[in-house]
Amino acid sequence: MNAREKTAVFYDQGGSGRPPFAGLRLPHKAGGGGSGGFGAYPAADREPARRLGREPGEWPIVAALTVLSLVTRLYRIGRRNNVSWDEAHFGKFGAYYLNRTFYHDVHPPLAKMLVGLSELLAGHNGTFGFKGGHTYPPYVNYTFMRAFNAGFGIALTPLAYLTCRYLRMPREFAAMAALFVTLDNALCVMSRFILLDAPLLAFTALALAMLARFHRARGVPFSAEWWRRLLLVGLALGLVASAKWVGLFAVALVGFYTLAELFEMYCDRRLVPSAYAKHWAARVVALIVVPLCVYALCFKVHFAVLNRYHSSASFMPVGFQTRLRGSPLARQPYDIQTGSIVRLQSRLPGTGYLHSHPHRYPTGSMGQQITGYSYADPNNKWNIQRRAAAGSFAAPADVLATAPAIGGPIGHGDIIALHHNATNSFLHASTGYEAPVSALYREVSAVAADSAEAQARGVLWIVEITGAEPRMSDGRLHPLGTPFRLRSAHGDCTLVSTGERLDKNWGWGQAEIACDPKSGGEGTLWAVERHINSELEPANVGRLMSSSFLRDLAAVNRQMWLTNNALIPDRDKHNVLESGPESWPFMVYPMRMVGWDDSSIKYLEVGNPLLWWGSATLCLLFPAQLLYWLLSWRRRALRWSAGQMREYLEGALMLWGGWALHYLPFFLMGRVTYLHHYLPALYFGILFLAYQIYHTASWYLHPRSARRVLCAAVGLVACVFWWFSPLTYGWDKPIRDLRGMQWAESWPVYEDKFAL
Amino acid sequence: MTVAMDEARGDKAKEKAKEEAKEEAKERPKAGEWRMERSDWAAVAAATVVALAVRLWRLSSPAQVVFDEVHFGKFAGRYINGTYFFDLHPPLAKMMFAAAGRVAGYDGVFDFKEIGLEYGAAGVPYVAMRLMPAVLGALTVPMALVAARACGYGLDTAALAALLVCVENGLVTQSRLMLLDSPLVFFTALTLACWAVWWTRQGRPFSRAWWAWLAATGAAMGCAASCKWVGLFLIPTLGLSAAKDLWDKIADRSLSPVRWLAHAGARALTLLGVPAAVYVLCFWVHFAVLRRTGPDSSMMSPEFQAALDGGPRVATDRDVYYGSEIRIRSTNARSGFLHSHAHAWQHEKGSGQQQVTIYGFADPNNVWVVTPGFNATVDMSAGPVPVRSGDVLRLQHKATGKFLHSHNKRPAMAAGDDKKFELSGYGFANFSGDSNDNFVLDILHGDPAMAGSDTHVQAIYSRFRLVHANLRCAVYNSRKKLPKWAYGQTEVNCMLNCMPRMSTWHVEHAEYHPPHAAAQPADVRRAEYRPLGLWAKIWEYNKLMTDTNESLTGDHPFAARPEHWPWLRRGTAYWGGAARSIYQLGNPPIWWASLASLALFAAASAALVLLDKRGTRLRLGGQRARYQSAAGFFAVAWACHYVPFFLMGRELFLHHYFPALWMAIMVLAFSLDLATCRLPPVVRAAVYVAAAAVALHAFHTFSYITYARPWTKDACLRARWLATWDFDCEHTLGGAKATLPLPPTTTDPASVEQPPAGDNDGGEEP
Repeated sequence: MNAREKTAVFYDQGGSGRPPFAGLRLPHKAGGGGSGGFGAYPAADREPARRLGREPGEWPIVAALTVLSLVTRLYRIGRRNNVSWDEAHFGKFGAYYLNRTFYHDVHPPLAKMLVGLSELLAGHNGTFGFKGGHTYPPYVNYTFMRAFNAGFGIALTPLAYLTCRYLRMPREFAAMAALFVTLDNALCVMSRFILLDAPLLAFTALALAMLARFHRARGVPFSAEWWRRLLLVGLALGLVASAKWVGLFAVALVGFYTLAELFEMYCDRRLVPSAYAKHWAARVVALIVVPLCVYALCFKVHFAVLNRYHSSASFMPVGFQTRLRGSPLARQPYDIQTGSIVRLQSRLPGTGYLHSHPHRYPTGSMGQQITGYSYADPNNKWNIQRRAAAGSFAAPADVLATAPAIGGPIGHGDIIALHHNATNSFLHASTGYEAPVSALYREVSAVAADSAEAQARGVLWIVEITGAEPRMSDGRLHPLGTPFRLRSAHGDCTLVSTGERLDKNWGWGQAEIACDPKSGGEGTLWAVERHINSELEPANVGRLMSSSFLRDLAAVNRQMWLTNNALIPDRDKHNVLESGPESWPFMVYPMRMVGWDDSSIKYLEVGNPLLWWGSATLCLLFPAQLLYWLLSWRRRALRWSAGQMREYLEGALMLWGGWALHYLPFFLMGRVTYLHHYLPALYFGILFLAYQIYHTASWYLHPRSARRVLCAAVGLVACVFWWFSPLTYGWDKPIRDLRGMQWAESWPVYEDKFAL
Repeated sequence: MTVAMDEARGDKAKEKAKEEAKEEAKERPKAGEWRMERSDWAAVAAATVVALAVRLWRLSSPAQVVFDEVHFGKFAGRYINGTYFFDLHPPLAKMMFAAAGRVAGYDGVFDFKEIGLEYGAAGVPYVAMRLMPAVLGALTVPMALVAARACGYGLDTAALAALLVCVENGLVTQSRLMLLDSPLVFFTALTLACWAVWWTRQGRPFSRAWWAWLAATGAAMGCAASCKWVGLFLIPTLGLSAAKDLWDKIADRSLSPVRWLAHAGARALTLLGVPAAVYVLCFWVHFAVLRRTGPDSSMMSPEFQAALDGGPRVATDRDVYYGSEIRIRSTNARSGFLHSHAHAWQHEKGSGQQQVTIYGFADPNNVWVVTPGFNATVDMSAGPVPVRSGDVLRLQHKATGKFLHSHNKRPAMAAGDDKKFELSGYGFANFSGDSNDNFVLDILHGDPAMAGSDTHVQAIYSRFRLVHANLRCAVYNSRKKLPKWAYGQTEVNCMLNCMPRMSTWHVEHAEYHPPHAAAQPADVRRAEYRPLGLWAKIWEYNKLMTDTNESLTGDHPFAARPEHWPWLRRGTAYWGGAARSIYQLGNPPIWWASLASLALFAAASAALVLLDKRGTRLRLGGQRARYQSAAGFFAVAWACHYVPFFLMGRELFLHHYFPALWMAIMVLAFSLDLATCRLPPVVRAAVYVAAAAVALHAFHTFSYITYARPWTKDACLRARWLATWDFDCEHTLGGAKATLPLPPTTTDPASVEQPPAGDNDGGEEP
């Protein structure tokens, strides 16, 4: 391993380290810290035991920065006493953990559970609903909740400092980076409300800091310190992915870093295969298994806390739903028989319940429609009638539709008829008509009870139970746990949800139900979801249902994915809140977070333009810089030592890669996007800005001049932060009174161009 | 982050690397050496003759319209009689068909309306028109030979590549019909062949030959892209190759930076500039020839149509006054005019008031009268009062007397959206309306050349929005088709927070009838659309091509997704006649073997890199450098012409794979060369002959559906090697049925909406 550090990545032509551009001064060893400067890193990488924090003089800086951050984040944090911006969502979600009601949301639970924790500590009893714009009642200590959440925003500052130190920036420049992070108005204002952005940012920053820290331990693989640092990276990844799925970009960053590192090791011929395999195994465990466990654990807690039924749980596996307290499904009569009223649910997601209504098909038989409908409705109720018991007939053709209903529980192979209560009609398999949308299937319709068709065998269906719950598999039909197919006794086809939607104009966009001549597939599976029979005693059906955490986890993540994809923007609609990724780096549309009346306290999500524009410019130019250097290196014209080059590039690629990975994927997303989606990328961008300033200054400037540059940069940034602070800390007078805030024509500070 | 851009070496390693480099230099054929020898010329001549024979045999059969000849024959006719049309492909290949038809005497009358129409009776010189793609298709064969030779391969390998291209049934089928893919494959192959020859001239950069071959590459590339946009994939193909070349060159310190920049600039100029010029030139000819208006003209903007002969000449009064009768057009979509008619909204949650729609055709119901706002008066005694931006006004429907109106009701096509409101016609006799009739006219921008058009409404020049005075919603073109009870017209509603794109309108026609003589305006100015220039026309046409391409999601029964192409899951039925049919299927052994050789190349490349990094350098029998550069180039070209299709949502067909197939065949030949290079010459020859025999046998087996020859049912069933190949064996000799039903063509992009018959709006233009 150690030999690897000697390797030269960029050819060293000049022998000694020279700056990349001829005729310029030698680089200065900037900074006073023990680990700063060029060329020293291999030794330092092998001495991780010399922890950063143990060095004298480090902690006072961290403490001072943190105090400053504390002030910026907490100043007048409780000023606006209304539910502001997305507090309406996340405050409410937090409250669910107190009243323990199940809910569904697009984000993983960790950050919302932390909001819930803050509400618990604030003494909230879970009854306030966080309606947008409502004033907080006295029993909700929203100031504490906001302050708790702001703690994550505060943590960003020391994390930024430590990250820069791990990337070998000297103290004063690391402090500059931390000050930049502290003095960005957007990062500040988004930390001051009960939102998920602050925890997400903090976990992202933690993951980056842990990665940089692990990077410094490369020289001593498999030591205790190395293991500790690697596992902490995995833990941070688990946290960030459990806060929001945007955290997966941090996982990608670590993934790319790890692959590059492993590839480099592969090229090192001195590394024996067994050691190499051990490296792979260590990373699989720490960077894949550990984060997955953290992610799953968050959901485990989430499920354990939310134990009250709510209708939003309807997408969950039935076994999960019945375990929720107050679930209407849990207690139902057990044996289904003639006279029972049932609600049949399709196994195909999105179909809902078997439904009919007094509207006719415009094609085919022109009969009454049979559809799938997802919401509770009296038209979902069907009377089940047992017409012939299994074994009482030789072939289904022997059973007549005029046969009277017989008693006894319905079981596998029985022939039934389904009577629609509201319209007094029977479910009927038509022959000779194609389904209205899917030509491969046959039409089903409802026929009036007094019509000739109701006396024909098209109304008879054979029950075929498949895959019953182990504790319910007695061959009889029960609620929830016995999925079954309904095969027409006449047409030899199976009742199916085709997955298509009916036309909005005549079918109200409901799901198409048809008869499948082939059978098979999930669309043909149905289950009795509700069973009503006043003559029978309700039993605890829920207790008989099996459940599996992994199945629940998969179901909830699948639904999150679908909900996320359903958030599609309308290109024709001007939404003051939405903005596209192309507008973010240069902050074309800052976002109004609250109503803009003259008397309300107004907050604008506007960043520090110096930091946004500066970081965006440098991030966009970096590929060009990289290309220029690559070509110079290829020409052997780069007068840097390999160590210097590597030192610089490793840090630059880590920060720039983080920016790119947290930014570019948004271009591929179809869903609605908001300005604050850029904040994680901005964090990387700001650190990259500081990193570039430091390196440029240290290459070309005398340390004294470098320090002057540093002071000027911090001073300017602080002034701009102060300039925009009214919009960060709230402005309660007419916005016209606040002059000079419109730094770009498109900013909606004073007026919103397209708002009507 | 760890940097792994190159392996590092100690001093020893450096020395070793130098040795290896020397060895490789020995392997690599020296640049600038290669010239066509006499044997090469003979081989080229032979290949051309054989290929022509294969492509031209039975060219006249069937004497009927086959598959997409429906489109491209028709377009050729349009060029010949100069009638404007729109197609989603660039014009070059279609113009070549037109030229061939013109030379052979086609008069442009026969309309190629559907598959199966007889050519003979109509006297269409279809053989001559098919001759053009057939010859181009035949020329791809010698090009394969030249490209392989230029890559440094022997004549045997080059001849094998040429033979495999020659007997590829799919390419043969494609090139015997009036389809765009044969010219496309020809120009693609020409580009790659020129590029390969140019590489051999690298020894004398900036020489005349060097420039000539480079420019030829660029021109061929421009032609390919002007046939079909698939040709644009040549840009990344050659771009990557050129980048690799420049990457190697910059390491050469004897080359000054200026010289290196000259190299880069020359490539950029010829590989981007020349093709762009060719592309523009093709469109220039296209627009110059198609100068008369035609059925597709209505797909274009009014400004575009103004540049066509015989189109509707829109000329109107320029100034709009209170009392003017106006027709209002949706500016950014070709939907038509704001329209109303005496039929009521019938949807749920609607008001049941009179419908307001968008209608694409001239109709008296498109006329509205500008009226002062409700409870407002405009003093017109001193002369006509012009309408200004910001005015509150009402629009009265001239034919029915109703006012344009909006209220808190849901529109027909967005019943669940509480940001959208219904637009209706409202009002009765002796009822003066209400404030919900008021709209604010807000001019977004005027024509900079027309003074005052940004403050005062001027027909054609002012682009404005109509904002409802109470609801603050804007009149919005949703582009959704209304149900039958609204005659399938386009929906218009009133939308809150509406972006200007689909809520921009302009007055296309205005006329003012003064109530009394004193109110006559002082001077009557006229306005008309300004015809577009070449660049604007090219821009609009290409934008429409993009939109059409994106929205091309038909359900053609023979559409095929890219994952099914390389292993030849299924062909495409082109034509069916008495016991004969044309079914485009490839030569299966060639497809499968070429796919295998690509997989082998990918695996070998990965393995070579990984082994190199661990210090094991395989030399592949001295063939490594050539295999990696030549097969690598064509494999990358294949990937560039295949992988992007996965990102396309539009309807795709097997024939989209053909440019990539030509490249895959080259890789196949090179791989066979590598596999046999260390074998005794006799064995190698035997392998080559065997490969050729297999290809020829398969060619013969499937030649029945390539040439539309009568086929027996037994032979047909035996040829169904995969169950997914659905050529019809029932319609063969001895089959159950006599003739095959004709397959559909691909989607016609220019299916133009005609005035619906059911709308009893009819009537003469006022």
